[in-house]
Amino acid sequence: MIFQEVPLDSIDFVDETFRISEDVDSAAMRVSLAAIGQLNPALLIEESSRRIIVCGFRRLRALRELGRTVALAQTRASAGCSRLEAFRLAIFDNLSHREFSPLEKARILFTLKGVCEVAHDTLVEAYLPLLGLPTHKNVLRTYLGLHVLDPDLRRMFNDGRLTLASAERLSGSPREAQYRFASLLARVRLSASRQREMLDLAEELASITDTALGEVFERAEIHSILGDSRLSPFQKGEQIYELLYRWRNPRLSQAEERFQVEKKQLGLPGAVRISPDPHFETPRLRVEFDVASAQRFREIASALREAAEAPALEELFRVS
Amino acid sequence: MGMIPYRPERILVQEESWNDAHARDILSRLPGIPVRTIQQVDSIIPELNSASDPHASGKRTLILARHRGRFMKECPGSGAEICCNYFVVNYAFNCHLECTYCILQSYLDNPALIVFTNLHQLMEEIRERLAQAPNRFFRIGTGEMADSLALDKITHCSRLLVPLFATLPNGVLELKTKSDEIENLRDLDHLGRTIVSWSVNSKRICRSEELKTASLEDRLAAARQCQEWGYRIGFHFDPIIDYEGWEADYREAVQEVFQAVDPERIAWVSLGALRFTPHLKEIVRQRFPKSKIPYGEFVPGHHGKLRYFRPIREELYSKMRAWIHQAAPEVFVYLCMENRASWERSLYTVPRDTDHLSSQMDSLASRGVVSVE
Repeated sequence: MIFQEVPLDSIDFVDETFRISEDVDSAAMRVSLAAIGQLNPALLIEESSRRIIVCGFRRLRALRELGRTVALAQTRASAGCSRLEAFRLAIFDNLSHREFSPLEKARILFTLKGVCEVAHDTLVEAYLPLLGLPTHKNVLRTYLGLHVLDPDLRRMFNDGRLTLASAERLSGSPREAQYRFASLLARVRLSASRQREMLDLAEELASITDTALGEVFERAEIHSILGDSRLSPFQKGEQIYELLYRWRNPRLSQAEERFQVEKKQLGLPGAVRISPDPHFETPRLRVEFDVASAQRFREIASALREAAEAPALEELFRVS
Repeated sequence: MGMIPYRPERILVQEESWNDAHARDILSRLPGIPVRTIQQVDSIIPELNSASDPHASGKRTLILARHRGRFMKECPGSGAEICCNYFVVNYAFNCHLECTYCILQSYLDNPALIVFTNLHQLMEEIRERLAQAPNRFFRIGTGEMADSLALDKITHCSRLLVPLFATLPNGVLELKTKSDEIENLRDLDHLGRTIVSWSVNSKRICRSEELKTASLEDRLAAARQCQEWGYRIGFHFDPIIDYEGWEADYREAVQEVFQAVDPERIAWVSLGALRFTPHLKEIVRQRFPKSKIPYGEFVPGHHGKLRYFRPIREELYSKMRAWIHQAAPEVFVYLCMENRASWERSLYTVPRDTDHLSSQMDSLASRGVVSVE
């Protein structure tokens, strides 16, 4: 194994075929190299008159930014090292000292498939376990989708704001929809389940109205919520979810709202809970209350007696 | 337009089915199609499921096999609050008619079309079961896991079952279909013990969601013909689908049904609104992306099935009932798999319980039968 000093201007920094790291600009790397110099050589492939980086993207960039003109590297001729062999060197070199993030795993699998032309079954059976992933074709599909996701969504995924399931789902959507959802997610906070529910609703609304998924997020009412400075990102997320729910389920949500109005009309104390049958499937109502004393019991019984005479009671049953 | 007939690309015969005359008869009606013998029906499932759309391609394989276990069972609706106590007998699994909403897409493990060849056992089981309960009346249908008549040109099942029921004093057979495949019924001595029923829908739904079925006109022409051959008939408006313009379309369908046939000789009419499992909804979205039916206002109901929000169902049912009774005031209308509230609010009459509905329907079923002694 021969290491040599290679002029930095002989390296093709634009070719990122074998890049694994998500972020190749590292301030920490620059500080380290400035303080103690380059300890670990990079790995390059020599291809006609240029050199392509296999390992050491961050090191070499940092050296260039520090104004150095040469770097320590091991160089291999492209004739003696296939793309797959070279990329495997990069994978194993990285695996020896760190764990890959999900986006890096996605990038590796994408390169193995697209650049190194590794067969689908081999990716599932050999490379998924190598990367610590379950051996299943759906996992491969998820990660390949992740790699081609909108850059903003990728960042949100990396920050933990977008779930893997949502990322996979959005990766199958048109770019426009990805961009629109990224714009929305930049201004709201959604739990994992709310992301799923919101995407469910938006997809169905798009199908119902024969519009593109992205257009659902462009409606004026949504923009109005997003622009309301009194609301926190969580409140905005909830309100947008409720809006989509009402659009998707107009009659059910109308009944739910009417039920709440009529219930309020009864003027019962907060200790009395009245709930309809799930989804109003039958007209039954459930009435519950908790009391800690006979006096409280009498107060609630009296409030219930009054409610029994209120016209709103009939309405409550009519709603349900 | 008539039903698009079934023609498989290949036939797989389970080894022991070669001993059954029914299998050999079916093969003789399908000349020129490659035939292969298999040991186990399930062994073919992985191959069929590896296709890009197993539900479509699977049906192009016809499997002739023996059914294991009992043929006759209670209708799955029997868990509902009010049910009609129906029995089902399955002579086949799967259907080639490609209705977008078909529950079989999510229900069957094997996407092939399987026709059972041990029909002699099926018939014996029916005979024994009815003989064991001579004081009970049985309404039995073959349309649960397959269309009762869509394959009849190939299977000739009707020519075995109709004469069988003509000999049974305490049962009627209901053949439920979306086809116009009635030729085999022409000269059978049914003695009023077979009711031929059509699942009907608005013309728009027949065209857009029931892809290989007979058109409404052809179903009604077949129904009229069956009445002329002395059969009593039934209609099942099921699934009724809520869409913009449904009222005009279904009203027209109701009018056409009752103009086409003699209402006096209709045994019953059922109403059932569209229901889905969540799994089926996904299948429909994938297989039929243009279909709008997965996007109704559904809520989870009985057995986890999705069904329209109750006020929507009630509106569908009450308007349908009104149109039906306008056209045929005496015809018996019932709801399939519905709760008491829906009956009350849409039909304005509620059977006391399942036994009450069951006895009403038994009496309707027995009305036209010729006594068997």
